[in-house]
This record gives sequence, C-alpha cells and structure tokens, in this order.
Amino acid sequence: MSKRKSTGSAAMSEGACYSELQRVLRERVYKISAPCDVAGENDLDKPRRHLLDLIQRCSSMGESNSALIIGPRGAGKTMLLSSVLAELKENRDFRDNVLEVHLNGLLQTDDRIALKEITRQLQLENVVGNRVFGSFADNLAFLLEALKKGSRDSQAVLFVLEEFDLFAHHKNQTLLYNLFDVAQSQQAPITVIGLTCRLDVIELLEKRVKSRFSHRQIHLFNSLTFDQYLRVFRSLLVLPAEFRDKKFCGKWNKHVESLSDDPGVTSILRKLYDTSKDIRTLKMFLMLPVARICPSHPRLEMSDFVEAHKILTADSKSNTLHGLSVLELCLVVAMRRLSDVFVNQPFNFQMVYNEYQKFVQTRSYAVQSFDRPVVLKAFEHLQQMELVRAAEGAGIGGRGQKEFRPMLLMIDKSQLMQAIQKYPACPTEVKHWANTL
Amino acid sequence: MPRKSAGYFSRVEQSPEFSWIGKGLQLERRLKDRLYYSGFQHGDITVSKGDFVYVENADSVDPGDHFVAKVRALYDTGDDDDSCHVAVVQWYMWYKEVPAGKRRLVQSNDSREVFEYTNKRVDTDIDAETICGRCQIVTISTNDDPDEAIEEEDTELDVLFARYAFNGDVFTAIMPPVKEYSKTPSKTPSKQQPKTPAQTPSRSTRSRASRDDDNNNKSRKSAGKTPAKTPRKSDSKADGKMSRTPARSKVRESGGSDMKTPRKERSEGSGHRGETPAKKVHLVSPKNRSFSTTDVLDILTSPEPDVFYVESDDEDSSSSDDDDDDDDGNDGEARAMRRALSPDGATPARKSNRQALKKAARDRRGDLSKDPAPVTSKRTRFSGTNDKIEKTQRTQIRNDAKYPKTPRQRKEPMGVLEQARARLHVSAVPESLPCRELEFGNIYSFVEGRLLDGTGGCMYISGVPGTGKTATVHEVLRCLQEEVDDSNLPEFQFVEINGMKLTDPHQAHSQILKALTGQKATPEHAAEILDKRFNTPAPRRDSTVLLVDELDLLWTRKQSVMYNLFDWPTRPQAKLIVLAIANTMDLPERMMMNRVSSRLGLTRMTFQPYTFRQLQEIVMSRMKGLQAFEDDAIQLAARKVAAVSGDARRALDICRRATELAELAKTPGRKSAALVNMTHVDTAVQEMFSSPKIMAIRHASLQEQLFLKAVVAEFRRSGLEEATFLQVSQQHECLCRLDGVSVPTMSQLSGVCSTLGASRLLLVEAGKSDLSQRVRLNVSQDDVMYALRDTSQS
Repeated sequence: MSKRKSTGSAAMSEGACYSELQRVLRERVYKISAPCDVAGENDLDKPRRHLLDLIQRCSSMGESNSALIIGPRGAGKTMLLSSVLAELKENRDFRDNVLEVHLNGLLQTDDRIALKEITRQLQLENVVGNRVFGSFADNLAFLLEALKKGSRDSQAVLFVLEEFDLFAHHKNQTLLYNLFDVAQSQQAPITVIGLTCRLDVIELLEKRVKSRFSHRQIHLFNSLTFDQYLRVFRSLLVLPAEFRDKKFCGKWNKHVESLSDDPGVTSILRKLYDTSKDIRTLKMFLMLPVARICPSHPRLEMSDFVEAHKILTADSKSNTLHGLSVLELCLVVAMRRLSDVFVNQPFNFQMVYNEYQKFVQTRSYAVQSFDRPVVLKAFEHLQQMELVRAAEGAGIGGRGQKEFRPMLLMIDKSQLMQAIQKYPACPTEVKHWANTL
Repeated sequence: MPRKSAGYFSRVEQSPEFSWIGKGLQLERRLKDRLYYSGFQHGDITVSKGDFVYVENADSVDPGDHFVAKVRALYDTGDDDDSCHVAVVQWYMWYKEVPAGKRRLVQSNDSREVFEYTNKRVDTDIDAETICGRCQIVTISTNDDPDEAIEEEDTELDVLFARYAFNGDVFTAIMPPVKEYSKTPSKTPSKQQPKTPAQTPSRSTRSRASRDDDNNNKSRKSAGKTPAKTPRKSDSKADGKMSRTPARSKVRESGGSDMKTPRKERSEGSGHRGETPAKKVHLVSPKNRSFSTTDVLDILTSPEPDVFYVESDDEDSSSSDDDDDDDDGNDGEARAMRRALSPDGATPARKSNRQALKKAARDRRGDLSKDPAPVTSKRTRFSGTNDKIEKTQRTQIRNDAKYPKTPRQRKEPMGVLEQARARLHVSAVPESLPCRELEFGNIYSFVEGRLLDGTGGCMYISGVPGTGKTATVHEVLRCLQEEVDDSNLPEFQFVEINGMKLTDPHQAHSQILKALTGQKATPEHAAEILDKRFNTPAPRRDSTVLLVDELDLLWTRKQSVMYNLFDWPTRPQAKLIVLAIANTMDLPERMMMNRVSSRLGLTRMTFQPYTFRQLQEIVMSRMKGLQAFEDDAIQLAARKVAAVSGDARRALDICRRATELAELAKTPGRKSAALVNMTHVDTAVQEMFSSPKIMAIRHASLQEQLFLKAVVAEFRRSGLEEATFLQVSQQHECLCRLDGVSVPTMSQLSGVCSTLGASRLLLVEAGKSDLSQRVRLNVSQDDVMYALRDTSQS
C-alpha cells in the first residue's frame, strides 16, 4: 500500500489496478450483510426515522417501547436496524446509555438458551457469581429481578430479536411476555425490536402477549422499480471516485455504463428482477462475473452474465437426471407415462416394470433388455435419490413387498424433456419414446 | 447461637407427658372450667409462670428457629382435647423477625438481642406444649453494654437481652425499673430525652430479682403488693391485671400510651396474680415518658412539637374491667375520635381521592363495629408526618437498589406532546384508576374484611387482557398497605406470583415460599413446607395476601398447584387470602376439576372490556391539565379500540403513536405545538390494525404475483381450496406463456413458492414433499385479485 501511495495516483501498474478493483468489488458483492446505502433512497426514510426516534427516546428519556420490523427476506430489515444503530452509536451518550442484546430465533431455540444468552450479553454472569447458574427457573427469576430493580434512570437495554416469529413458538411465550411486560411497566427502560418476515406474526402472539405488545409495526417491502434495480447494479460495479488510478477508474466506469445499457445484460437482469427483487440475489448473481475479472479477463463479458444466470436458475432435478444410466432414464420415462395416464396417482414397481417391458419388447432391436432384479435395483437407486418416493398414506403398502409399494414420481414433464435433450448420447429410441408423452 | 445449650430438643425426641404443677385456681367467674396454674412439666421441660421460653415456630423449617416469649399465665381450658393447655405469653422478637420496613428504625448486630413485641393484634394464647425450652432475658437500657449485663446473669440458660419494645410500628426504649426512684410523678408532659443514663445499678438489682422469680415463684407476691403511687406500683397493678385477663392486654391501650403499659409489665419481670385492686395511675412522668425513634423524628420535624399529651385516666380505668362490650365501646370511641380528627388536614391532600374510595368500600361493608383498630389520637396526629418520612426513606431505599445507572442524565419530557407521550405510556401509574371504582371497592372490601377477621378466602377475577385487572388489584393492595401504615389494619404479607413468569407451574410453590420466608427449596419440598405452614396453627402469623396472576398457566394434569392454592385458604389457621386472575370467565368450569373449582368458591368478579366512554375517560384523565389532543381525536381512538377489544393498553398506544405523528407533522418553523387531531389518530389506527397483505402483494416480484394468480386459477379450476405444487406450477406455466414472460425453472419456482410461504401469503407444506407439497392461500382470493388488478393492466 505504501508503495502505491508513493507512486501517486496516475501511475499504477495494470496488475495493481486489477487487484485493487477486485478488492473493491468483492468487498461489495461478497458481503451479504454489509449495509447497503444505495438501496431505495426515499422509501426507507420514514421507517428509518420512526425506528431512530424509538431507540433514541429509550436512551435519552428512558421510555420503554416495543416494535416489529416486518418485511420479506432481503428487504433490508437488519440493514435498516444496523444503520440506525450505527448512526446512534456515533453519539457518546447513546453508547454509555444503552446495552444491546441480540438474539436470533434460529440460535436461541428455547427460552432457556435465550435467557442464558441474555445474561451472557449483559455480562451478568459475574454478578451472579457463586449462584448455581443451572436452573432455568433461577435464571428467569434473576433476570426479572434485575430488570425490575431498575427505574427510569437505569441503563436502557435494547433487545433485538431476529426471526421473531420463532420466539413465538417457545413454550407459553414466556420470554416475549416478560420482555413486553417489562416494556409496559415502570421498570428498567427497554426497547424490544423484533425482525421477521412473517406478515401474520401478530396473530402468533398469545392474547396476553399481544395485549402487551405496543403494535408498532414497521413494514418494509422490496419496492425497487426496475430503473432503481439497474442503478443498484451499476453502483455495485462502479469504482469510487477516490480510486487512485483515475484513468483506469474512468475507463472501468465507462465500461460499466455501457454494460447497463446493453440489451442483453438488461434482459438477463430483467429476468432476475422478475423472479426476485431483493438485492441479495443480485449480489449472488454478480459473484461469478466479478470473480472472473483479472488482467487476462479485463472486462465483464456478456457470456459471464449468461453463465451466471444459468447457474443461478439451473434446475436441480434435470441436472440430476444427467447422471442417470440409460436404464434409469428409461424407468423415469416409463413412470412419467404412468403418471400421465393415471393423473398423478401413485403407481408401483410392477406397473413400471410392465411399462418398461412393453417398451423394450417393441424396440428390442435397439435397446438392451435387463432382467427384473436389475431393473428393481435401478428403481431402488432412483428411490434413494428421492426422484421417486413413497406416496403419502402408504401405511398399508409400506409394509408390503417393495415391488407393490405405491410410489410417486417427483419429476415434472418439462424437467424430463429438458434432461433428455441434454442427456449425452441418449439413445434415439428413448428420446423418441419420451417425445411421445 | 447461645441458645443451643437449652434442652429444647427433648420434645422432639421423645413423646413427652404433660402435667400441671400446683393446684389449679379458678380466676374467672364466667369461665368456671378454666383453671390457672403456676407451672407445668412437659417432658423434661419445667416451666413456671414468669419464665422466658422458646416457642416452636411452625412456619420455619429450621428446627433451631424459635420464637421467644415470656410466660405470663398458664391455664387449662378444661376441654378434653389436644389444645387444652394454654399459655399466655408476652412475645419477644428476634431482629430477623422485625418487618423489613422497620429494620432501619433500630440497629442490632447482636444475635442475642430481642425486642419486646407489644403489638396488640398478635394472639398471645399459645398451646403450652409448643414451648420447647427456656432461656433468660435481661432488660437493659439502650446505652448499656449487653455483654456485661449478660455476664451478670448467673444461669445455665441462654441469656438474651432486650433494649427496645416494638409495637409493630415504632421501637421504644425499655427502661429497667428504677427502684430508688421515689418522686411522685408529675402530670406535666415533659420532653425529656429517653436515654437517661445511670440505670445500671437498678438494672442489676432488677435482674437479680428476676432471677429470684425464676427460682422461687411464691416469694414474688410481696413485690406485687407493694403499695405507693410510684411507677413501680403501677407496674404491679398492670401485672395483676394482666394475669387475670391474659388475653385482653390490649384493653389498656386507649390513648397515646400504647407503648407504656407493656413496658411496665415487662420491666416488672414475671407477672404474678396479684389481687391488688387496680389503681388509677397517671402514666406521665419524666421517667416513664418513652420515645421511639420515630417519635424523636416527629419532634424534630413537627412544627409544634409539644402536642404530646396523655389521655385521661377514665378510659384507662374503665378498661381495667374485663368485659368484652367495654372493649368494643372503647374502640368505638377511639374510632370516633379518629374519624373526627382525620379530615382536619392531617392526611395529605393527594390521598383524598383514594380515601373517599376506601371510605365508600368500608361503608359498603356496613359493619363499623368490626373494625377493631384502636387508633390512638397521638397516632392520628402524627400520621401525616410519619408517612411522609417513611415514604421518602422508602423511595430512597428503592433507588439505592443495585442496577447499572446511566452515566448520562436522562432528559425530562419537555414539550406538550412529549409530556403527553410520557403520561400515555402504559407504565405511567395513574394516581387512581378511573372507571374501575366498583371493582376496586369490591376487591378492597373483600380483602379488608378477610384481613380484619383474620380468616382466609379466594377470589377469582377474570377479564380480557388490558382491562385493568392486575392494576386494580395492585391499587387495592397499595391502599391497604397505606391503611396498615396508619395502623388501621393488621399487618399482612403480600406475595405475588405470575404464571407467565414461572418456568413450570410447580415453581409456584418455590416462589411463594421464597417470598414468604426467603428460603429456597425445590418445588416439591416447598409444597411440603407450605402445606405444613398453612396447616399448623402458628401463634404469631400475619395474614398473607397472595396474588396469582395468569392463573390458567398453573394448570397441570393433576392440578395439584391450583388445588393447593385454593385449598390452603380454607384451612382455619392459614390466614391466606388468594386473589386469582385469569382471562377467561369460565376457567373454573372449563379447566378445573370439580374439587378444585369447589374450593375456589363463588366469589368471582369479571372485568368487562372498557366501553368507548370509559376508554375516553381513561385517556382524558391522563391528559388532565394538558392540552395535547382534540377531543374528537381521543373519542375516535376510544371508539376504534372499543370496537375491537376494549383493551386500554391499545387505546393508550394509539394515542401515544398519534402524538409522535403529530410531532412529525409539526412544521419546524412554528413553535406552538400542534394538537393531535383526527387524522393523526386515524393514521396511527391504520398503522396498527390494517393488514399489510395487500401492500405486500403489490410489492412482490412479477413471478411471485404470477404464482399467486396461478394458485387462484388452480383453486377456481378444481373448486378446492388446496392444490399441490405440481398443479400450480402447470397453471403458472400457462400464465407465463400468456403474459409473455420467460417460464422459470422448477427450482426457481419452488424458490418463489417458499418466499411467499415465508411471508405467509401462502400456507405451504414443508418443502420435503417436493412436487406434491400442498399449497393454500392465506389471503382471500378476492384480495389477491384486487391487489393484482392494477398491475396486470399496466
């Protein structure tokens, strides 16, 4: 770094430029949770203000509050909260006034673990000292005591509950009840912020818990328009103005501009946007093209984007089908035929075998015929790959012979056709048979 | 502990025999069967009248934990049952038994220190068989060295010392008797300091004398008969009376002398049945004047410190006759006096509202004569000052509690809207609860009645969340506690448990035990201890008020927790009042077994959801004196909430949110705060109650919207409200072709499906079942079509 500084802005070697470029871009694209300040500028303004006020008041006036941030995955819930916290933390008063506790419903799967985590994050373990710190009941009583003893002048505690809906599945919702109860009574000032993607999360709360919750809901949506989406795409790729090699920077940025105007790229982006508006998917999409940039591959090529999109949207099942033997593929086709005939009703191995026999006998000149045990083995292999699975309510058949168990095929016709077309060296007879579906 | 040396374990170890010593004397005309004795033998314990004894504490699990008392009389009721041997005692209490709130009034570091307990409400008749050992107590003045005094005692028994008497309210220094004191007491009230020194010689003679008592009871008679109008004399008189009417010692307290009588009895040492005629004695003499610590405080703080006075002798003498009616009459008189005095401004004005409520509650009971509280006029005079001091001290204690303080100063709410918001916070405790007067009165009179009668009972309180159940009960208990502080009600212990704050229903036992005694025990053990406690009669036990919040969570399969909670109050000695709170009105019928609901009884109360008028009043009462809302705005909020739930918390939250919105909308240039108007409230209501689903659908991505459409289309096709993923995907494909959108792959589509499932627009089975996973809509079909109508056209 120091070497670069000394050389000044203009004269950077090409290699250094590219490594710098890679560093900048990868930092942006690979970090999923990094606050993204480019996202929907004005849409987030109001919820942000609301949240900021709420937490600010807790710290400055000791007012307890509770709120929920609701939005689909990738809508920027955590990002919003962390940017608000980052802003507040610049203030020293806030840092001294507020303790933070972060819980995640996926990690703290029951109240016992959650309580332990709270005590750990509040660094109360040493306060507990010689107490036996095993019993859940003790723990709860202790924590409630600790919170109850506080008054308006006590240090505020900010509870952030990610995956809030999972906390609602804890037994009796004890934790939520107690947190909301503290927030609604004259105890230590606390703010409870829940983050969830479930729109009906309030209905999950038990009536007493619901009554104690303040019903503040901050809704976030993926409300980007396609133009904004393109802007985000651009801003993820352009180099910052303070990049050292101005010439390289200018060239690169011009390249990015031209990319975002390229109809091929925009159509791919459009497809992506149609499936999912969130920025996380976009970043995932950009991962491969960005990783490819190097001196020998100096530009983002159209083909990179096409490939990335293909990988991203690939159908897992048709890919799996590529690895099957011809016999297995024949069985899949046979089963697909049966499913079509019986309108997705379950079938059993015997039916599949009969269908397969019919096919082999009519075209015995082209296709190798296998014995029944071999076919059964192939069928079981498909079953292990879960391309075929036992039909629901197969209680009676489930105990019977495996040849007669009712089964269902998990492959759609379109997936099969796709796989057959791409299958390397697929016998034409099989292809033909599949096409008669 | 020094008392370990006494052989009081003997009773536990062997099955002891009980026998009286001496000849039974019949001392009361009416109770012919009642024979008084001078002593008894029980196992290897021999106790005579005047001895200091240990009494078993049935409430404690620690076998070494005993009450201390002095035997004042012993009699046989003549009944043919277990409890026919009765001892009348003068209680002493250990420092640890002093109520926590009063401990600050007195310092004690010595485990041998006891306090003479002169509270009249405590039952002084105990079963003589619960006496389990003897000890010795010396009375010393406050500035004496206890060690010295104890060493002077030449006895093998444990020696304890007493410096103060405690009447349940204040501590009074006990003066040892002054034998060489010969001056006739003057009637002039005097404010001499209590800690007059130079009592040491008299004390030593005194203690020697008391030892003589122990050795030889008979010789004490002469002391009791000594005539002369000295204070010494009055003591013997008191003793004589005491021994004749053992249970009625309280008769003597009528005026401001509640401290004095017991003090003298005690200083006399062992009481003996002296037949000396009762004499009127003026209790005021410089030597006799006793001061409690609070008295001193009173003098220091009171603007007119010379209001001490002593009641006339008439009451005193009239009460010396042992007659029940007389007692009541006397109480009535004191009561009347108190009533006359109470409105004269001694009570702080801020209590007036609550006072009125309490009065109403009492009047509803309509049984004035039942109120036994013999309130002294002195007490009434000083109650105001006392209260204030106690309260400030209490708050100080509260604030000293360990909790990390903010290093930074908290801002006080400044603007009108900020103030309004602070007041509207659910946690802001209002001075009184509007709209719950009737419920308040009912609960108040229920608990008060049970407290006064010393009995137990259950009350079941139900109501939907946010109707003020817990708040009202807490308010009732706050008022009762105030009455207790004013000595109008007997002391009680308040225990609160909340089903939601327990990790397991059985933990309730542990928590109750911990709140009652401070012990920690496993739930099973705690249940045993509590069962024992509430089943055995204990001589000195306050009533217990137990608030059980969220009762329904204490349900277990065997319902043992609920059974216990409602069974204990029915025991005669338990003195347990249970207030159970739950949401559902029919909980007893629906969830409880018959034997549990039968014990719960029929004292039920239901809190109706607030009507919009009540909600309006609640908000208005909090906004009193603060112009932050337009009237219509409050009404709108109240009506909206009343239509849905009648939950006061919701109404307050809406109003609070409305103030925030008003603040946001306020133009920064204008200084005067804008009022919260209808639009603000309406926006707040919308934010809280409106369903975000339509918005969510509008903001969904194209494929998500198409998938929702496909679901609807599939439902319409099949006529069912459920479809498999495979079926929907086929529909989806058609729709894509129709709209000219590229068809997503199956993997993508299942991603779309699970995104919709995560936000619960769709109800989706676990992804494990793959193509056959079932999909249902969580929104109505019309909502989907309505939300997508515009987008499909554009």
